Amino acid sequence: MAFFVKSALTLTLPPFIVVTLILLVASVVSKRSPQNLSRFLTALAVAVGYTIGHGIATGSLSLIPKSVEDWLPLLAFAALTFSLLENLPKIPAPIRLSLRLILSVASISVLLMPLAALSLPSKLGWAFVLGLMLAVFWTGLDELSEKQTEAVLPLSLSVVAAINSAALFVSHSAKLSQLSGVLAAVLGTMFLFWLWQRQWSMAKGASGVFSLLFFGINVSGMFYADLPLLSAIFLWLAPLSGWILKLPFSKNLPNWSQIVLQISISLLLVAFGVGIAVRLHGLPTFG
Amino acid sequence: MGRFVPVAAVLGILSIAISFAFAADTYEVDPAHSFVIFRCLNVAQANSVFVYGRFTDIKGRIVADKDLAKSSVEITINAESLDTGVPERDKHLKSPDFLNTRQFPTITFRSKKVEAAGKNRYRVTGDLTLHGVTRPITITVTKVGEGKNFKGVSVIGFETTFTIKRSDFGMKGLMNVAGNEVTLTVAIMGIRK
Repeated sequence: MAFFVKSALTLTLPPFIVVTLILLVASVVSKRSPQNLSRFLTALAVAVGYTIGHGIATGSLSLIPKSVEDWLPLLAFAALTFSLLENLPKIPAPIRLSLRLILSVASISVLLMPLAALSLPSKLGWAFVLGLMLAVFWTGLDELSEKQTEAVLPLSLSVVAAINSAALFVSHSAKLSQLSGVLAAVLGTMFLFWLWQRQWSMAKGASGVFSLLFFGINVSGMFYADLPLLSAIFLWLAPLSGWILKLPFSKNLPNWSQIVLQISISLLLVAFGVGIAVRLHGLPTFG
Repeated sequence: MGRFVPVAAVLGILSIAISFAFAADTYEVDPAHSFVIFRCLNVAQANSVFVYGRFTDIKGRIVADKDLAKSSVEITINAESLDTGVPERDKHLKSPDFLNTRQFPTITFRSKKVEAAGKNRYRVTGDLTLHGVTRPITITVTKVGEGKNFKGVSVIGFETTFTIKRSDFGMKGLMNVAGNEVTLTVAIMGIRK
């Protein structure tokens, strides 16, 4: 137990500190400056926090990727750059969505290209299908972050990413599991920060960086480790559980009931995701 | 002129004989009699035990020449053939945590220089490519033996043990799970082509 606690603290404490510092700056800026800047700083907090945790988990950060997971921090910063562009008010929605789709397909492509056993047409086919799913996920999450001003979304994303790390661990990759844990810690920090600074929505701006990282980690898990596709699909659906609140029956529920409903659906979906992986691979028995 | 022809013929035959005597012998690595065994400290088990494993799919070629400058060795290991006796652990070692075999399916060694290092011992310098990273290494190889086997086929066998750091080959994560140093024993037998 002490081994896991020590590992978790080593991985999550530095990102926690850095994310808190950036969010502090963002909260000051959001009171004085345009909304777009605070959104960018929120995305920056997730990207930088994750990158620091990634560096600790993998032992290195490289601008020239060698192993597939080396791409993940670069994808985070690509999404960060894109979030700057996206927040330009003059870009029409269709162009914005098209650019988002292009970045999504390109991101999945760079993760699949090093795969030795898959033919180029297969890689491109998977990149298009998963890229399309990523773009839909990203857009869905972005819409949710606009609508949900509470900290439900960061909490929900943090819980999903934490349980996602269990699915990856069962699927034979402790490293990818740690990376999902880092993502959970970053989102968890955002939630804790909200408990202190309640006037400010933390999820806005961070959806692009989170989407690329969450998809990127699980796509790596699917193709380079043994995460089952069905597990990944359930895990990808879980962060979108907030959409259940758009259904007519849930609109009249009290606020706390809506939160409980959203978190419950999230947990149910991740339980399916982890359950499928456990059923296929069993629980790790070695060390 | 009459005397010159037989002398030239003798010299010609002699030179052909000498060139055969010093011709490089090429051997194909026999997977059935070749072994690549590794050991690595299991840090997660309180540094109390080494994990041993082997690669079962090995290919390669040995060129043995009396002129060592013309000798060479090429070995290709299928990284997917890793076997520690525990399938779950094998999957973990083959995942992006360590070897990432779906991205880097082969481990190769290509010699660049072979030098004598004592009786039946050779210092071999070459490039080891592991986990997509190529680094020069120098190893001391012992010739175990050579001759004709029970089928009458010429065989030759070499063995070496050396240690690498996995971090030198881009595997820098999970140091609290597996040690940085990996000791490899490579024993190969070649069958003359």
